[in-house]
Amino acid sequence: MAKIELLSPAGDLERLKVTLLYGADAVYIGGKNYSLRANATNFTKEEIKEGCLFAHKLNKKVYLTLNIVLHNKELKDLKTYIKDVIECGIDAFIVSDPYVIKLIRKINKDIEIHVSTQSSITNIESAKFYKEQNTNRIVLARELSKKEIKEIIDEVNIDTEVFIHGAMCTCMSGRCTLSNYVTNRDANRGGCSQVCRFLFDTDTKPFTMATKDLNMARYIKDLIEIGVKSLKVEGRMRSLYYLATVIGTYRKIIDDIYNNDLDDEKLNYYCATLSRVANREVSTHFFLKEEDYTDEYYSGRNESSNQDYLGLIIGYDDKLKSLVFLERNYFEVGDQVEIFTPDKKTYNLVIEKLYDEDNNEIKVGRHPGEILKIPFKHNLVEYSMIRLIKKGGKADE
Amino acid sequence: MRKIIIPTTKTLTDYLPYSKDFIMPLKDYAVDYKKDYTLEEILKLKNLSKDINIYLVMNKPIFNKDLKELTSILKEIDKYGFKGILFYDVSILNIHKKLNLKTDLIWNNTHMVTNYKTCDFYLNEGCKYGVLSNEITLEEIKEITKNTKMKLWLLMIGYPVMAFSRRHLLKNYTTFHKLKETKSLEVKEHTTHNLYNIFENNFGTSIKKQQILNATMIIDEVKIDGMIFKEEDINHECFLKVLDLYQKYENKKITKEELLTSVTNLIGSDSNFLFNETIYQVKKDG
Repeated sequence: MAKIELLSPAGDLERLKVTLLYGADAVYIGGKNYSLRANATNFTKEEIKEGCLFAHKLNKKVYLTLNIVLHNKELKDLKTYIKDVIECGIDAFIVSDPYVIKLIRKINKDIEIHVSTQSSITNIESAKFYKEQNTNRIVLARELSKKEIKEIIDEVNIDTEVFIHGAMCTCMSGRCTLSNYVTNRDANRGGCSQVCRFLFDTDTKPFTMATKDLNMARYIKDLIEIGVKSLKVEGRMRSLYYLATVIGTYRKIIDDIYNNDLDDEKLNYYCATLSRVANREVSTHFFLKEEDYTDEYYSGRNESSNQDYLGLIIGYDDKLKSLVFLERNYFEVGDQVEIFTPDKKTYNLVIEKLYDEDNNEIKVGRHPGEILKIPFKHNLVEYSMIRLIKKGGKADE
Repeated sequence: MRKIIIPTTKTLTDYLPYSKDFIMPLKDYAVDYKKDYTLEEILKLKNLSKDINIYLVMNKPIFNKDLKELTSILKEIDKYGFKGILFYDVSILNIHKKLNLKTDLIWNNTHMVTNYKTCDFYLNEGCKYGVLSNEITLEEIKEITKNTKMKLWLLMIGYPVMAFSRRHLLKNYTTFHKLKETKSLEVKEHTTHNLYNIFENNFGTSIKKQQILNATMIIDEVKIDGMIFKEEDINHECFLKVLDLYQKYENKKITKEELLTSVTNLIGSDSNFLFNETIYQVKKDG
């Protein structure tokens, strides 16, 4: 049986590389046009080509989002764009508009087409409709329970993809134009300004409708058992560190499940790792129960910034026998840190010595963006990272 | 251009001097409307006069548990000679095709009826009509109507719905804050001070703009099949006066300028996105 796919977002070429190295089986990316994250960096055609070459060398895949709600003017260059990105080597399109599905099929009968969550597929008959349009996969609506997902899988012979982690929309995908009305930015053409996280005044308590984030780490086994084909992580605008941590952690969870090696202790550790990069509380939303007040926030944005990420390792100083890294957050000698690598290795250590770029010994790394060095016995693979575990002997949590 | 009315009263008598075409939200199958009607109520109203045309709204999100009953009711509806069904979820289109039903389908994808090619797609799938999105410009409407054979409808007068959530946002809000349960709430956005109306039914929560869309200024600029007049939250007398003014314009008793001035005096002049294109790419293309 084929292993379930771990599908990661990638807002740019570096994120694509990092997330594939950290264990994603495939990435979804946006081109400069037609993508629902217009304000992510997104990919030029040359970058799409380079991303595809990189992914294919690792035997991994690249899916391109073409899931905006098209207005007339976007129709103009669509055909050329589809042909161009197929030539770049993408493995699938993620599409919501059935006209676009038809157009892609007319241009290329073999390329995979995945129906975007923007189409809000919530039932067997809708799934059948999209299967009949000659598509290969449906991304199910985030409003479905485990039972409903299983029923669709059992009844409709089409691959299914579900979201497992990240921010959730308050409204149903495609059924929200709050951003258009409140900020004049088109939600369904990639300009969403997240009005659902705004505060609204009433005569009594302020009204908010912001949702908690999705975290399905404890239910990956259930999703594998019911026959889901792909597990999708949200967040094309997320940082390298976030992607490395989230994708790296889900990679371990999936591999441990297939190796029959996931016990409670390990799962708790993985969940704790995920919580270190979370900036909101989490919920499983509709998966296990009807939604209720526990899935939302009631007092504004409720987001916390995370300062665990200490740096990206960018080289090795042979003379000093030290790792060279680009600092991202304040830390100091005495702090307990964890170095983690794309090849799933982790090293825990207490920082005993710290050097600046000119090899002067220092006590504190104060300035994000500085190049610093810490003694370490050998070099590590590209895109290894350092995170804080405990501040100078004191518990950080 | 026909006037198609979305009523709020129990009887249609007041509206009949102005139109015989009605859109009626079907109870247990419609969202985004505060007033819905049971099938029995609609049948009674339909039988008031032979030339009353009723289009049913069945736009709620459909889940597996709904499919059996949905199939039955679609079959039942087909017997009664309703003029059409406004649908959102494509399960209705799929069942309609499979059962070879004869009631016309109206593609009512709320915010997604935004280009002529997708209109053509749904036309080829058997949808005779489409309801244009409220978030497109006049120029876009003109281009769509020029390039598709689908018969199109447009909201001319009424409060536009901005969003629908499967979540019970009001119930959750009142539960958390231990407030008295409510099905409708007016909220003011903190920064812009704009007002919005949030209302809820069994299937979720809708959010509506608190300004009436008045598209009267484009009446002679677009070639559409139907102009939708949605009464919800508009004073009944005021709504009838608007219909009456349109009637007078159609009968050439008043000029366009007189129509526009009088309607604006009654309901304001919010043209929504007709002359205001939304921004979506903040960064320049590379």
